[in-house]
Amino acid sequence: MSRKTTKKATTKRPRKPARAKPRFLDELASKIGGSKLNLCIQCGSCVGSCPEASVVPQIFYPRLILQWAQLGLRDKVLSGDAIWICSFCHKCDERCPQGLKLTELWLAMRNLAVEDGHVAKAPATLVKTLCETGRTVAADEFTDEQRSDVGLSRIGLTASKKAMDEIKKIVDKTRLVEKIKRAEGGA
Amino acid sequence: MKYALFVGCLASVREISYEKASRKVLDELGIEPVTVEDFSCCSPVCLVHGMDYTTGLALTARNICLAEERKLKILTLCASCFETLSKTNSVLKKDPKLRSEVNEILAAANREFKGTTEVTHIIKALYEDVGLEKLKAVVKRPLNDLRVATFYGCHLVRPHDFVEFDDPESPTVLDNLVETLGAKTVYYDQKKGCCIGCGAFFGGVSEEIALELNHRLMKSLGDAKVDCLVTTCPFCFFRFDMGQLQIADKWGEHYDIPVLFYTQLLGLAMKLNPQDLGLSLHRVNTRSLLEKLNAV
Repeated sequence: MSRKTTKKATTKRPRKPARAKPRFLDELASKIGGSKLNLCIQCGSCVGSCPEASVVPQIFYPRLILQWAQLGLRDKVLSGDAIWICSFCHKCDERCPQGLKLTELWLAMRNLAVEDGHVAKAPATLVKTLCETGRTVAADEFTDEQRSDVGLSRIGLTASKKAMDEIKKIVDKTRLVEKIKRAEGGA
Repeated sequence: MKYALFVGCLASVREISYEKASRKVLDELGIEPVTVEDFSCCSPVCLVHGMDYTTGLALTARNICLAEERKLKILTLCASCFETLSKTNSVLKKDPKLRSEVNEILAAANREFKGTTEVTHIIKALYEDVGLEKLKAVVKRPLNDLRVATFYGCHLVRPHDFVEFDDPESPTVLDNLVETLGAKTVYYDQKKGCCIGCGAFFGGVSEEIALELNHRLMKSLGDAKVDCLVTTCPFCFFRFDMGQLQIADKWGEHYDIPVLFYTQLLGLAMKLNPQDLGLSLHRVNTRSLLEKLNAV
C-alpha cells in the first residue's frame, strides 16, 4: 500500500455509527403482527423464496432487513425504501421455519414509518386516489363507453355516492389522508 | 346459488373482459351474481393496511358489512381482493379487541362488522360450491388436444391461514379445473412463480422488475409449446398480456401466447360465443386458440 493511500485512509472522517434503538423490537411487537421477530435465526428461507430478491437482491434482501431490526437499527429500517418493496406473495410467510409472518412485519414497519414521516411516493398517491374515488384504478371518460360497448353496466367516475360518503367519514375519523400527507412532507 | 359479486377495481375498470366472461359463465351455470352498488375498492392489505392498519381494516370491513347486510357470501374475481377480504374477515372474526377498534371507526359510517358472512374466489366457488362433476356436465366442446399452462399466482392459495384453499406450496386445483374441460396441462419451470403484478401496480417495486420476472416466465413457457396461459387474477393477466408486448419491445422476443382467465376457457368449453367472453379485448391476439378450437 502506498504512503499516499494510507494517509488518505487515516484522514478520512470516521463514519458515524448507526445508532441502535434496543426498544425497536418492543415497539414492533406492540404493532399488529410484529411480535416474533426475536425468533429469526437468519436462515435465509425468506430470501430464497422471494421473487423481488431474485431480481434485485441489492435493494431487497429480507433477511438483512430483519437483522437490522434485530440489531435495533430503527432509523435505518424505517427511513429506507426496502420495507415498501414486498408485493405480499406470502411465500416466505409459508416457509419461515420459525413461524414468522414477514408480511405482518412489513405492515408493522410501514405503519411506524408513516408515523415517523417516511412513506413511498407511489403507494401514498394510490391511497389518496382511493380516498378520493373509492377505487385504486381510477376510471376515466372512456371506461363507461368501453363497458357499454361490451354490454356491461356503467360504473361512473367514482364509487357510488353513498360509498364515497362512508369512505370519507371513515378516513376523516382516522385522519388517514392527513397522516399520509404529513409523511410525504417528511415531517 | 347467490353471491354478492365483488368485481374489484382492475377487473371493472381495465380488464373488463374478465367481468364480462365471468358474469356470462355464472349466468349459464345458474348462479346469480348480485350487484352491490356501494362496494368500493377492497383497500388492499399491501397498500392501505401498510399506511394505517386499523383504517385499512375498516375500509375493507365496510365492504364486508354490505354483504352481511344482504346475507350473502362475497364472490371475488380478483385474487388480491380475495386475499384482502378473506384476511380481514378472518382476523376480525377471531380477534374481538381488534374488531371493537375497527367497529369504533366504522361507527362513523354507521356500519358494524358482525362476522356473519364468508368470502370466496370464483375459482374456489367453482371448485367447492359447483364442483368438477357439474362442470364436466356443462362441457359442450371438450378442449381435447389443447395444451394449457396454468398460472396460480399468489393470493388464490396464500396466505393459507386466511384463504384456506388448496396447497400453498403445490397447488393443483386449477390444473384439475382445466383438465375437467378436456385440456392437457403442461409443466413449466415458473408455474408456481409470482408475477409481482400487485407490487408493480401498487408502486412498491418498479415495472422493470416485474417485467424481468415476466420475461423469465415467458422464456420457461417458450419451450413448453402451449396454446394458452390460464390465470385466475387480473393482475397476473395484465402482467402477461401487457407484458408480452413489453417483452417484444424490450427484448425483441415474440411469444404470442394467448392469456385467458379460467372463466373464459370454461366459456369456450361451454361453447359460448367468444364475443360474449370479451376475448377481442385482449392485447395478445387469441385467434390462434380459437382456430384450433374451431370457435372462430
